[in-house]
Amino acid sequence: MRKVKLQMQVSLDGFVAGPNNEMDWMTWNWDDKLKAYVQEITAPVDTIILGRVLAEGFIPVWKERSKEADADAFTHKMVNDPKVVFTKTLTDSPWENTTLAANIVEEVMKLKDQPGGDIVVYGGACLASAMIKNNLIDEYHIFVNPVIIGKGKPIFADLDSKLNLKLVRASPFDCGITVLCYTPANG
Amino acid sequence: MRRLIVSINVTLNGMMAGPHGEMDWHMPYWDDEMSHHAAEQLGSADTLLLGRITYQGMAAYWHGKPAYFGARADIDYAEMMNSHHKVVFSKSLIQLNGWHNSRLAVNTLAHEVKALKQLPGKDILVYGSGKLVMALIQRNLVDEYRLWVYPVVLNNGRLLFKGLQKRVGLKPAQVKVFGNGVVILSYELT
Repeated sequence: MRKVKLQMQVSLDGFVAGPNNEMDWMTWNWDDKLKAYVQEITAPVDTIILGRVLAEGFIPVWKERSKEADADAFTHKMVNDPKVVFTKTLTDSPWENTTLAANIVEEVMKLKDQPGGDIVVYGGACLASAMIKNNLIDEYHIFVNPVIIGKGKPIFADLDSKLNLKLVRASPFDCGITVLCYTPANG
Repeated sequence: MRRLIVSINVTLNGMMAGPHGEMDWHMPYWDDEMSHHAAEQLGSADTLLLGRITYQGMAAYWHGKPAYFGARADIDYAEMMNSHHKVVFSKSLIQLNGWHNSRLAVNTLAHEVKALKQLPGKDILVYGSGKLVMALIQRNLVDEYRLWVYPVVLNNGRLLFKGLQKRVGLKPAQVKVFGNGVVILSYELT
């Protein structure tokens, strides 16, 4: 079965976005080692999953970046990798290489059953919450930002029971982000 | 100047306790490696600040602890818990129940903490005490956070930083990784 990885920036108090989806608190000037970490976990990925609201920012932004002369392989990968966008409202996909889906559990299980590389989900909060609640994440890469924002959108609030995890590694980076990588614990 | 360090056990999703104050989620992880580190941390301090509930719980446990039973790290820990200067902040307590070297704060939190920081001495430690931690944050009295992050997510509980009205930017200090998957994330205030 294919592996589903979650990669999200999180405030120290556990939010992935401000209450109005603010992302200005996040550290974006990633140092080379953090970029290398992301390259490493993204290399085996061949499918990107996004929630609609995130997709509406993510897809055009990476498309624009890919037009620049110095656009790197990672940028092209973000544009070229097939995407699945979860939406309850859109009926036709306005984006290239992108299919739409409405039923998260059904669609993700279907993807996992197909042959292929890893699947990465970048958010948003609603999609991540639903996937976590339904035990669809195989690997968590939590990018802990050095800031407390007070209020915002969590991703673990929809769980109906305690979730036990196993730490794979904890990596501090010079830009201030500490990445905590976990898998679900057995039993 | 002396530093005030807040050291707290939290879940990955930022909770310091279950909805009714439950701490059972962290107990299975507590092992020799963590005890040793906790004892080192306690040794670098000489003063503890406590809210009422934490004080009452700890006083009951440590006051009568037979320090001559148990592992060396535990004995050292018990000795320090009993000998460290303890300042209790409570609006309702009028006297303490006789735990050695404890006193009730008489001035405001800011006044007491500033006075303590002026005195020579080792670090000032704050364990738990959710309301006390929030009050310290709001008055900019914290110098360092040490969050002991457990590989556990609680679906319901008390958030450590609940109700904070402003953003707080932090400077990452250390990351300590225990063999059992608990990670201490340390941050200094900018």
